[in-house]
Amino acid sequence: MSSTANPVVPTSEAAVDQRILIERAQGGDHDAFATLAGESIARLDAAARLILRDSELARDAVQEALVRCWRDLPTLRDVERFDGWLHRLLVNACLDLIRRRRRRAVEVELTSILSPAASDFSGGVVERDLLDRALRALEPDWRALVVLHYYLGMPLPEVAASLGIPLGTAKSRLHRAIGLLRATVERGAAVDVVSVPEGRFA
Amino acid sequence: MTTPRRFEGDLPALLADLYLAGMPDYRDDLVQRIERTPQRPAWTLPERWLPVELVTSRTPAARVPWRQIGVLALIALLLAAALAAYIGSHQARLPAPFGPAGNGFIPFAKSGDIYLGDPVSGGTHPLVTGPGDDKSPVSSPDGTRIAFNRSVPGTAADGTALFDTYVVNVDGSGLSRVSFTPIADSSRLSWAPDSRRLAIIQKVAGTSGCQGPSNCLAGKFDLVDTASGASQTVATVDGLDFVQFRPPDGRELMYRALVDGKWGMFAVGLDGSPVRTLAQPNVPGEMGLSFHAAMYSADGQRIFYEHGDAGGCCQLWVMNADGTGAHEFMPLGPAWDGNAVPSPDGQWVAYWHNPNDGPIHGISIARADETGRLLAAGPVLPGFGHYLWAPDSSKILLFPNDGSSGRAFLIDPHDGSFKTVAWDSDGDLDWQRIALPG
Repeated sequence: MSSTANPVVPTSEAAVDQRILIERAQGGDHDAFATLAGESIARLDAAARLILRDSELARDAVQEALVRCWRDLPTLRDVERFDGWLHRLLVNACLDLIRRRRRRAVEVELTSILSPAASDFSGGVVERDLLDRALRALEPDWRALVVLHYYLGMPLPEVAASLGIPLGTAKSRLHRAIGLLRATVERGAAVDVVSVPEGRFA
Repeated sequence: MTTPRRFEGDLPALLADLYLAGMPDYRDDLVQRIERTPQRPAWTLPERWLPVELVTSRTPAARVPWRQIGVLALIALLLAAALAAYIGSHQARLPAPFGPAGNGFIPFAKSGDIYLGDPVSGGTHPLVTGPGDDKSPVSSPDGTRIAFNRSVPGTAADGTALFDTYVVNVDGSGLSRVSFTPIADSSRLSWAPDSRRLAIIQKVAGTSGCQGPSNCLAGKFDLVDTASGASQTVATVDGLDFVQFRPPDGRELMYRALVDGKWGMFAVGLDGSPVRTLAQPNVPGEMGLSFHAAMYSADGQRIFYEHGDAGGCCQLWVMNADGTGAHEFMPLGPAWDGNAVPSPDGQWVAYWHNPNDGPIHGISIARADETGRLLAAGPVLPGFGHYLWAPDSSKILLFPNDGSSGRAFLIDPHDGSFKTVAWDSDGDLDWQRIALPG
């Protein structure tokens, strides 16, 4: 099991460097933006795959978010909010893709869920499979909520603003989502092999 | 057994472990794409990209024109007085609950207060002000009253925000609370056709068919008599999140629900007649936009709805009000469609129509009888928005909820041109219906 519990917290030195890069990119410096994009693209890609459960869609979403970021960067007044703004662009791109998805061939993947003797999250493939399955059971906007808060480390008020929902609703949904994830993972111990339809989004 | 706290604590690492963040192979393609993309100028549209305080702070200092200010204040007072008189004098006759009506004022929320805006003059008039955090004003079908929600301190046990529902006469008198107990996580308020009762749907724990957290919820549908405050729970149904009263008399209503974890659409008479199935419950529960926000046509003979199936979501479909004749509405090739809003005169349907899955969104307008051409109307938005027709069908009022504008747009459905209203608001606009002239 990886121990990268907080993958996105920058150091203060890195923050200064990032500020300089953002200001240069705001002035039209392609190289500065390429550096910024290079620093963030891996975590954006992972976050998009967590939300969308589809690597091709994730690629589209990340590209869309970064192109919008470049295009609109001169209008960003507070460079300290760059990360939150970029994450908001990403989640909007993900949810837009989900809403606009049409007549895409349905890919059905049979996911074999092993039956562990006990539901213990201390490590291993079984836990990943169980969590993967539990995430699939969430609707995309709920997955976005979980990913923004627990993977990208965004504060809940910022998550609520990004998703356009009241803070109370975000808290409630996160509470329920975590409960469902936990219950699904724990229940996974007793579940046989199941088929999980891919590519069907609401 | 894993404790909740431990699971939450482990979740960041579990998620990071699920997809190890390596450098994607499309980074170079992206850099090339960005080199071909121009940047948006920072200062060309200050009213759109800058907050008001920043724009105003950049205004060069000048001598204060007290005389002009005095004249403007006098004009504003006269306008406000005329507005109040107009409101009071125009409700002698009342419009029917469905069909075309005259255009009244636009109720809107701004900074916790409720206002009425005049779309013609651009003037605004405070309706409910004070320390309460008020939002979501909705005009009654007869145009005489406004219902709205007021935030209540604290939250429900599960953390959701709480509201009280209030009603006020459109002249500002008769403010009264109509909810006995705070409402948790309420959906948008709607009025019954009698303009006396409010339809309120609250989310409660569901009973079956959980396919995702939101689908585990049921909707408790209450009708609240605004005169007596009496509340009647009509039904509690898995997945219920809206009801639509059927024109022309409102004696029947339509809703969607989950049956054994699958979405279907149903109708029921308020006289106790049995439930009719309009669309069999066979759409998988995870397709949460299917049948979402279905709308009756102005005459109540047809139903417009979003349709998703195993191939994806969503397209705009239409069926007869008895559930027969379901088909895709004006299929024009690959597109993402949804959120149909029929015009009150029955002639038109406005809906999101995005050919080829474009990255921006806009409203298109089609004839309700599915003849003629589609008209792209109004601004394109990076996100989405809420829109409704003017009561006389002459305009569409669109408020972006993507943060791209604090002002609503008024769209001409005949040529697609648009302008903004004269005031900022926080969204949740409605349009007062008044009796047609003559």
